Amino acid sequence: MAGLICLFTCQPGLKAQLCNHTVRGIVLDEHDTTALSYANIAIEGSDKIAQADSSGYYEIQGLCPGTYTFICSHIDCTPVKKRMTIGERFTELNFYPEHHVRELKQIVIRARSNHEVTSVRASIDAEQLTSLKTSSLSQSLRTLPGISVLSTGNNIEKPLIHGLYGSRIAIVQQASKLEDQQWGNEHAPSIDVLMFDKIEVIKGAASVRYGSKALAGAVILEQGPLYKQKEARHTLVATLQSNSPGLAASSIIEKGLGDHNNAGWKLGLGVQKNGDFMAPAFVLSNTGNTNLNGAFSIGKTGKKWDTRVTLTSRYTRSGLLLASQIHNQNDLERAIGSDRPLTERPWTLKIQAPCQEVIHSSAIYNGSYRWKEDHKIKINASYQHNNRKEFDVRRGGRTDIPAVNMNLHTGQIEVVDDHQWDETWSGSIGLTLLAQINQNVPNTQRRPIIPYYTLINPGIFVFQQANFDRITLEGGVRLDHQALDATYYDITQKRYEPHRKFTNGVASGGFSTVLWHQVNVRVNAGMAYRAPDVNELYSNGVHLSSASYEVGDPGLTAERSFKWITEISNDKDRQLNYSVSLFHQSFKNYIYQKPNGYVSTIAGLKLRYDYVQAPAELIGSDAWLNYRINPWATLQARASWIKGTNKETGKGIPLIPPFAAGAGLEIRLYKDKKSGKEGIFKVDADHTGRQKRYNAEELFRDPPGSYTLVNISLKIKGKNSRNTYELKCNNVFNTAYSNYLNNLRYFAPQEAGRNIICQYIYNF
Amino acid sequence: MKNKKNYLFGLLAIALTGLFSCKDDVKPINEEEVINEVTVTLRDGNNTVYTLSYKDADGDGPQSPQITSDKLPANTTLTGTLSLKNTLAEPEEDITEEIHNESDEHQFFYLWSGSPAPSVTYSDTDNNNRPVGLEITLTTHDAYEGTLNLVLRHQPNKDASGVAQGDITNAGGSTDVDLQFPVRVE
Repeated sequence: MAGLICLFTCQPGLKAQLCNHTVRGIVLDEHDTTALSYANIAIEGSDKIAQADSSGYYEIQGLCPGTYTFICSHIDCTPVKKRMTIGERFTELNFYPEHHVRELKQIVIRARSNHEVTSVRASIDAEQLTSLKTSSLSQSLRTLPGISVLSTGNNIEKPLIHGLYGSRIAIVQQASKLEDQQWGNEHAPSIDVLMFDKIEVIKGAASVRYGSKALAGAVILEQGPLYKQKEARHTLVATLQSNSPGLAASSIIEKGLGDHNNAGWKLGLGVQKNGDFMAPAFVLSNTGNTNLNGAFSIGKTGKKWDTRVTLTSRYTRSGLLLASQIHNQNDLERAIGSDRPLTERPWTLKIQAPCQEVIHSSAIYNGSYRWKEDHKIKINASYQHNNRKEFDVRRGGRTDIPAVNMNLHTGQIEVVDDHQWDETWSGSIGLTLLAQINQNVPNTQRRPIIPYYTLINPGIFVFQQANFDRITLEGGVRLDHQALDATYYDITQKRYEPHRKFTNGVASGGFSTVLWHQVNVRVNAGMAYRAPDVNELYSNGVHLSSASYEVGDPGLTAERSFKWITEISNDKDRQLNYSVSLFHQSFKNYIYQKPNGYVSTIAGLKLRYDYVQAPAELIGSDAWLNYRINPWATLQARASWIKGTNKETGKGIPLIPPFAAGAGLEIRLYKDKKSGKEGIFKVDADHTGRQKRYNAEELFRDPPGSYTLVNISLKIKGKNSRNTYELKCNNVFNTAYSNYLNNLRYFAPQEAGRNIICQYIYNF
Repeated sequence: MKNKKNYLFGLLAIALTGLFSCKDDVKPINEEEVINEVTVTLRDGNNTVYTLSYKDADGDGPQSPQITSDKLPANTTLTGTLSLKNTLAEPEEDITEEIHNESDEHQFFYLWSGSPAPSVTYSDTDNNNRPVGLEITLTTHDAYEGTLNLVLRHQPNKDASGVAQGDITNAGGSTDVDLQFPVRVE
């Protein structure tokens, strides 16, 4: 909570000299995700003290007019002191995130950190996050508006932000970009949510902070403030589910270190084992999954230095649908013509080829040095290693030899200077460096699809923010230089050593303001150039589990994106809470795969896909609302819509999520304020439309029809939320449907059916 | 505290120098499982040899394969053997042997266009007494001009209806070889 921001707001009222003044307000965490319940608000030199309730609200009554120093302290936060003159009958004193809703005619005093606050963000709330501890990142994010999931089968999933994915999204953990062969459609992010206390998606335009690869947005994962108490804190989450049948468990332990309450550690362990998924009419053979996670973090907060080191390691073995293993156009046509997968086997926990095995390890250092109260230097460094093995059904006993075996090493370092010049102006300057190498382990007996390469990417960014009474303005620029050297052999064993250099800029700007009745407006626009990825430049060969032959183009140029997004929303603690956003993104030289006839091979004809560039455009809108009908019932609704156009053909772009809308009703069955015992029932319906905009030449099969899924859940919280039990049923009616965003929909005409989930959470 | 920073930069420098030392270690991959030569050798009662041959000197590369086929005599019973090779690997790989060793998981299908097409029966079996198709008996009928589509399926369902008789319809599995030979019977 190093960057806890204070914001004072005062409402004009009648002047009075009596000691009947009241200070009240809300304490929310740094990024407005959750209320900081039970924070203490004290007045220096007085015995007056108040504690915020579970929604973060507090009140101190009976104050005389005068000037006081307020101290806001919370178990996980550095105390914040603010001096304030009380002259009005009621004074609002909110402890808020950096940019938040402010009332009209308010006086604003703030100490803020340099974040891109005018970007449109969405985050997962803390309680939901705990119950997602045993889920994948993509599953966790899919609940957010504007976020969809691109899947390959049933357990390999990657997030889509406003219709874009892969190399166009930055996934950032503890200020370090995840580098894990993210270019592949069938490569799920090698990250586990276990250790993180905050997951946020930035849907805004180009991010100066995270570079050109964030041109579609960024997913930010961060650990909460260091836990420094002597008594250990444990969280245990266990999940049992019916489809795919399996078990997942995770455990988190946190404990303080030493006698000074300034150091602590956190250990997270997770395990997951699932068998084959089941569609209503058949078994989705070989879609099991095994996951092992371990992470350890240790840190210290000093007078000047804050330091934290995080180590993570994750092992994943995921099966790919058996029926997806096809080798030519005829096989594909057979698969599409069939109403069940071409290859089936009885249900099992076993995972056989085709499958993937990924081990991702990282070591991350986060340091921050407080020069002065308003001047900080941050140093973030990391090393990541990603080993990716893909197993194919092969002849001659080669099935156990990986067909793809790559080692990706990435080192990153950034130094950022954060400066608060005065009450209005603040800014930061940063230097970043990324160095990466991809090595192919030579025993595969297959020509690697991605060459050996080295990438050096130094970058510099400048960011400025101005906070006026009701308006925040910000802008930044970034420059990246990328030097990419690859080495590979073509099919005739001829050696190539291409060098490419790209120098690309990112620029973004935005403003946010408050209109009336806490209506918040954010406008954000940005331009970014993304250098082509290695696969787009140099891939040449058959891609696993597909009947296609991919051909890169070494002459591709950087794609340019211009995105503009506007959001209108209101404050979180209102009876009616809503957000509506609208975006437009245009691309020059948008890189995509275009079919280009067939390649004749001994195994028959394979579709040839070339990487090409074309102008493209995306327009879309997300909306959601939360309406508290009464203390016992809350109505939720959400919708998102995107239209993607290839400006050259005038037709749709592949893999743009179809229109989706959902509604839910949450009913609190009972609640005991004292003990915190609570029972919540929830029913949800999610409708997904049919994608009507597509280019028939770019798809093997037309997009599937629309479908509606109904989910219900019952949650029982025990005393002080020590024990939480949840019983969920997803796809209650066992609806048979096909998902347009599943790369393997050609090989299995149905997705997984009904899933019953039991979850137990224990905090002690 | 300055030391800490220096230490980090030092680590990065070491990592960077490590990165650049292995470019020369990148060697071409010996792709052993490629099939680039397929030969069907047919013999009549007099031991006269007729061959259908497919050769692709650069595998999946840009060069077109060479396909040749001998004219077959009409109304004759021929015994046939199939040979598959990878001549791109060093040393050359005999794929026939590989398929023979995994005969449970493989089956060849001989599919003809038009009529009166020659007929093929399997002469070999796997461990489960099901056909493989490396050895066949081919019987020609009257004069014919058409195409033989030779298909090798990996992991077919050999129990499915018609598969043991050489009908590919229900075979399933994935395709390892799918070739077209022009055939003339005179």
